[in-house]
Amino acid sequence: MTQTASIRSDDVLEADGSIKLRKVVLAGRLDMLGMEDIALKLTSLTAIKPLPVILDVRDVSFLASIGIRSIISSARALDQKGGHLVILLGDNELVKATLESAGIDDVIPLFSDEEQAEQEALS
Amino acid sequence: MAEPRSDALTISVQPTPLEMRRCSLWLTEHCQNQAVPPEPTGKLDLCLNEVLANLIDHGGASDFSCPVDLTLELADCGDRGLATLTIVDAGPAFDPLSVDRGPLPRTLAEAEPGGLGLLLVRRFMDERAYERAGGRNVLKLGIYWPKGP
Repeated sequence: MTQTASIRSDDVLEADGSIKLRKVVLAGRLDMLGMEDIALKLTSLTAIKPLPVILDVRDVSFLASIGIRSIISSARALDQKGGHLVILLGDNELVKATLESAGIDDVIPLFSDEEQAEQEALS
Repeated sequence: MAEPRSDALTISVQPTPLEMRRCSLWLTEHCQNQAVPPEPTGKLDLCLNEVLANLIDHGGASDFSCPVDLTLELADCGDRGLATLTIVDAGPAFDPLSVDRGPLPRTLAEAEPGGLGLLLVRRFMDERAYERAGGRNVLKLGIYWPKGP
């Protein structure tokens, strides 16, 4: 199986150049091999600075528990620094079912709609 | 659990992260060929991944001289279909279905990152059975789906 994982980020800036909102986009297969590729970058993008962060998993085809662990760790570290992480699902039903079955919807806000995700992240 | 058809598919793999990808491809291709819908296929794929990951992390998999044997069977249960995956390994006796992770977290601070894989297996699989047979762990996981009109 050649499908792999990828991560990229896009910062929305304030007029003074400071970061207003960070969008981190994950894609592909987040299993053991996939997380080897992206875990460090996910931590550095989401858990270092106290920012509002949208974690976009709309293009994640497969989310294993190792990926959920990494998301929890990042969200917790960000929360302790005063930041806030929300997850944008879109219509990704398998990833939604996975996160809900693991109880993540009770501790990290999940959104189907991008605008609502932005509002919550910035609140 | 319903009696499976005789046209079972089997594969033997070493429990490694790379081989897990091969298992996933094997599973999803055969499910697709047999018209198993994407949702049960995805859940079965995820649970297979979690069981194999657990073997790698905790089952002494690196010491295995025997591969892990996988068998996929499909059954017609009237208005439902059933896919059953049997996972057999020669590691130390361990019943993954006996693991109780405890209550789900209510806050981010309470969230424990570990133990989620086997929780997903319990939540996603409609049929679950474990036995120790012939010195091997035999885990059966099954998922139903409604058949179309």
